[in-house]
Amino acid sequence: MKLLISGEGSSDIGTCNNAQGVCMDEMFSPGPMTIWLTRFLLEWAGYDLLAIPEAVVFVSEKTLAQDAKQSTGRMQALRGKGKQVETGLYFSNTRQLGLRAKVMSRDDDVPVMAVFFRDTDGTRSAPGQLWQAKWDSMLNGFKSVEFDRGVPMLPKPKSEVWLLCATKQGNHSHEVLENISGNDQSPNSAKAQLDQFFGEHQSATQLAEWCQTNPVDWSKLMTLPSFKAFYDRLQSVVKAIVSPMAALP
Amino acid sequence: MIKSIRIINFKSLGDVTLRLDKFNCLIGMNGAGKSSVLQAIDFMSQLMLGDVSGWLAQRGWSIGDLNCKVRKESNITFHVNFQTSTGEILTWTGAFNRTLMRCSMEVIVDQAALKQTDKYFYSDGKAFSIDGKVGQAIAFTFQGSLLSVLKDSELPENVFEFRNALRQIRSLELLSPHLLRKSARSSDHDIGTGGEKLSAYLDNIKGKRKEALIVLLKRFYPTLTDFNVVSQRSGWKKLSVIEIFGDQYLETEASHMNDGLLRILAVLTQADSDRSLILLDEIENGINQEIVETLVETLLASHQQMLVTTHSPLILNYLEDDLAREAVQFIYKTPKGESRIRPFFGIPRIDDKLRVMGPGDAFVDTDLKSLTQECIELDQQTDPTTQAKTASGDGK
Repeated sequence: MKLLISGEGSSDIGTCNNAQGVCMDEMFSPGPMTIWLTRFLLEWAGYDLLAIPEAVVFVSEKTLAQDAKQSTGRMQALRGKGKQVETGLYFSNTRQLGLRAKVMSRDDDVPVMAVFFRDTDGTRSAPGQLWQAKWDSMLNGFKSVEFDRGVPMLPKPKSEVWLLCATKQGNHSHEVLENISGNDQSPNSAKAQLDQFFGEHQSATQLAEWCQTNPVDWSKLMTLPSFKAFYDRLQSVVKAIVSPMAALP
Repeated sequence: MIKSIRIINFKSLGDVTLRLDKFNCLIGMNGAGKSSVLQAIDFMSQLMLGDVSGWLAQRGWSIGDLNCKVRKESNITFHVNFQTSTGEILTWTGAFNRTLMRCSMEVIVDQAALKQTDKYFYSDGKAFSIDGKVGQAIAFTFQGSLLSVLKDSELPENVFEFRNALRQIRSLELLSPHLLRKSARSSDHDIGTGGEKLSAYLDNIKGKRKEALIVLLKRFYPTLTDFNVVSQRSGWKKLSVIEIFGDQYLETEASHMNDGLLRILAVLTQADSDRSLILLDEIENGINQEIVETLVETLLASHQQMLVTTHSPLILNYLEDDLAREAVQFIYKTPKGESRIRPFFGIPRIDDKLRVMGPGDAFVDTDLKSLTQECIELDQQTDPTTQAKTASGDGK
């Protein structure tokens, strides 16, 4: 199995070290979310994808946007009954990521799973109340190119809340964390609380390193609906790849 | 070319600045103030023509309809930046007194002038001076700008060019099929805001201009071969178009023409005229999608400045990205009821969309209600008075 991933930047999925739009191996600096992702895969598939050459391929946000812009394919249908607005951006992105994953799978003759990361409500992606619409549009984007191994990674409001949740104690529900403002400028932002926990601001690399061993168990994170949705989808896709028969109804 | 217009206290335009390029497109929800912007520019033009009461009567308005109801002041204030053919940027600033129906103060300066005293034109309502010469008392009545009544020969070349450019603005913001269909008198040499007098105007288009117009029209309607204006009794002019189907010619009178053809005809006559800036409201009205691309191409190729409003994503999708970034402006209304304008693709998340989809796709994918809210928040972040309040609040 190979993994094709795309996100917003170094503090979530990661970045390329070589100013290229697509990178892998030592040219790719995995962010905290990629570390978690590969931890799950290690657990379920039995191997560490980051340790296997060319098994994790990263596509930059810009490259994906260029793919979408040059694509002649039909975009999402226009507005209409039952059609949400503010979802076209996600649809176009996952559509292109799905297409790339299909090409990669065909060329390398291996199953490829695609994971697409976006914050629900960063300062760049307001209005952020539409988590479900965004989630659906990401899945629809994969579906539109008949790619069924796509996984949206859509923290609400942003990845810092997932990280913050991982720092929390207690087995009660942490769902309330999803109500924290996505705006980093607000006094009690997830970013600020995270910095407070570590005692100082952490770089993306430091956070990624912390994620290698944290959290020890995922039960706290499972109380966040946005994380649970990602986890369930990831698990079902991985299962379908590693043991296709078990995934059948 | 008009570079920007700032207008204060005109209908819903409390204080609005509109940057203008060669092609400009206003988008926004119903009631956001798109038409008010076109009306305000038409009003600026009328100030230079000097018949404010006639302009009001034509629209069925009174002077009391002009000011912004959420503001206290009575005067309508404006700043117009204009680039002359030599590249000089002139700024015309003035205040229109609604009681006197004329500008009680106006001044034209070179924007780059080092000294504020370098004025090409100045009037305080009682006296005026041109090019820094000794002032003369205003011993006559006029409406609008004093420039509207001054002789051409009295004006410096750049001011003359500026005044004429403003006079040559043509608003077609009320274009209506009903008015376009009406016959007109031979004495009517210009098309009205609603498209009335089209037949008389077309009657004046002869020779090569007419040929060029028909070539343009054929791009939209390939079956069209000619248009005719027939003179009737008492000078009435009746318009008809001639189309060819197979080998048969078919003549259709204006009263039976389709709305789209009439609108296109009106737009094309203006796009080919000596107008400086043409204002068109909801350009997509009555036009089938097959000719939208041709319409956009025609507007972009026109040698005049264009300001159009639209609700159509299709129109926007035919703009190149870079052009859309410059041309498309989003107009929205604050909770107080004042209109504001922002470059649509200057809003970061909308520009993100433009990087993956067409300008029209980005538009249709955007919830304009939420965007209005976001723009209001952005305004509050950049508004110095709000910032000062926040800062003092923090201090406590």
